[in-house]
Amino acid sequence: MSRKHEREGFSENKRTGKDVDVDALSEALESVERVLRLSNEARRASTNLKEYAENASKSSNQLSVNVQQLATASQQVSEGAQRLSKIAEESAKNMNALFTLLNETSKSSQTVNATAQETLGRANQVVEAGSKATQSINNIRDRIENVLKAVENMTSTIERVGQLTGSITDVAGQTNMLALNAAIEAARVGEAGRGFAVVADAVKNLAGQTRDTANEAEASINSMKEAGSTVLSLSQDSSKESVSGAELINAAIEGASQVKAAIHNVAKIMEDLNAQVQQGMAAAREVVKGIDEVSSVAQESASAAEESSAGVEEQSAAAEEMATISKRIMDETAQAETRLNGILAEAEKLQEILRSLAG
Amino acid sequence: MTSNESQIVLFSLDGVLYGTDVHQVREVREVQDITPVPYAPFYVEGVTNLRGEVIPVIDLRKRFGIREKDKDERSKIMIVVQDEDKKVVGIIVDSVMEVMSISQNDTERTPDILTTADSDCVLGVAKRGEDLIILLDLQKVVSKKDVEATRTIEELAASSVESPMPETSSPEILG
Repeated sequence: MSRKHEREGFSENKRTGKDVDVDALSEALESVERVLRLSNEARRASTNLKEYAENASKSSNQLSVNVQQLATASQQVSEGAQRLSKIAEESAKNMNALFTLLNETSKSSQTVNATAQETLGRANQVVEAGSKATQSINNIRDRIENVLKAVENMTSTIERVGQLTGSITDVAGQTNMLALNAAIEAARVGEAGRGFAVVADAVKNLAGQTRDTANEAEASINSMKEAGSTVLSLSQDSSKESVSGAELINAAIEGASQVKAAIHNVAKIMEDLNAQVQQGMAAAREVVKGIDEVSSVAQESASAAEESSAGVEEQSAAAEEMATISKRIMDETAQAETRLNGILAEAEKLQEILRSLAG
Repeated sequence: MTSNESQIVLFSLDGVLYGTDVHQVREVREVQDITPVPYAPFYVEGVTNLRGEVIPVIDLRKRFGIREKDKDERSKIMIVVQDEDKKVVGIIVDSVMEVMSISQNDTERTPDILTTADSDCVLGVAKRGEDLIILLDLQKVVSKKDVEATRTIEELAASSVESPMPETSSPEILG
């Protein structure tokens, strides 16, 4: 309507000049001024819009960059979570190995304990046998003492018998001498002494036999003496050996007692070890539980990161779209501004014309 | 006992058998209680008391020049009778075995070639199975000179019995 007015006013002005409707003119001028004002406002709005669009573009670019960074970060999170998951798996494996070891240790300690108990039994047997042996040796020693006494008695008896044999030999020698002298006497008296000589000869023979018998007895006594002293020294050796045997047995008993004490210590240590192994196994179970939790958390975290990654991609696309739209807004705004500038230029020309007309 | 048999006392010295007529031997005694006498001949062992009678004792080993040997329980003193005055002398031998008979048939005289001035005390050799017995005249073995020498000792010993400190002997030697 205002354009119709302006065209009418313009043509009328040119054609007629002086018969211009003043009211219409001023109305047109006012209209143009309004157009100008509006156009300026529009241009200002457009400039603002461009600025906003630019900002929007910049922001969306920034957003895009941030989103990219976020994507990278969430990728890293995902990778880290996967690595953690792997580590957790390996830890779980290691813990299983540890478990096996602890189990074996427990079994070994039980075996050691069983062996220790067995050894304890044997040590007890040694102690028992040793006590019996000591008793036996004491009995043997007593018997040897008896043997020694008997042999000593026998030896003194033999000594006495030996003295008797010596006397017999002496008597035999004297008898022999008497017989010899009797024979000499008988021979010196000649025929008359003949009967006497026979007797003397018989006596001489008897003395000889007595001497021989006494010599044999002495030989027997000497070998008895020898045998006696052999028995004596053997018995003394046996006595000594029985003493050293008793000492050895006592040493063995003492050794067995020490073994027993040592075994008690070993058993105690094994019990402690077993208890510690049980504690270790309980702790290991806790650790495995913790690792399982870590593992599941890591997996959750990995899947969350993947989801987040997907979200980021979507966001990224949205940001890019936004950037494109901002660009188009900017372009459109720039075109609108150009057109507005054209409108403004035309409106200003129109204003001038109108002023000159009104002028 | 026939006339061609004789009785001898059999004794031994250094492994050799000797025989002497039984009439020359009065008795046999153990070797004991011999008192050594100073300045006596080397073969004189000393004197001994035979039932109150002091008699000289000689060692036949020393007299025969045989190496000496320690006396043992087999060693004996043969109391030998001196014919003339019935004086006796003790003779130590290794052992005295027995009184035995020997036959003249088993006896041989000493071959002349073995006879020397000093060996007239050996009367001959008798056989006894495989063994040989040297027959001795012990009275000749104990010569008159020896007997005189021993008689001097006898007298000395006898006087020493009566007076223990004879002027001719020093106490140290008799000790």
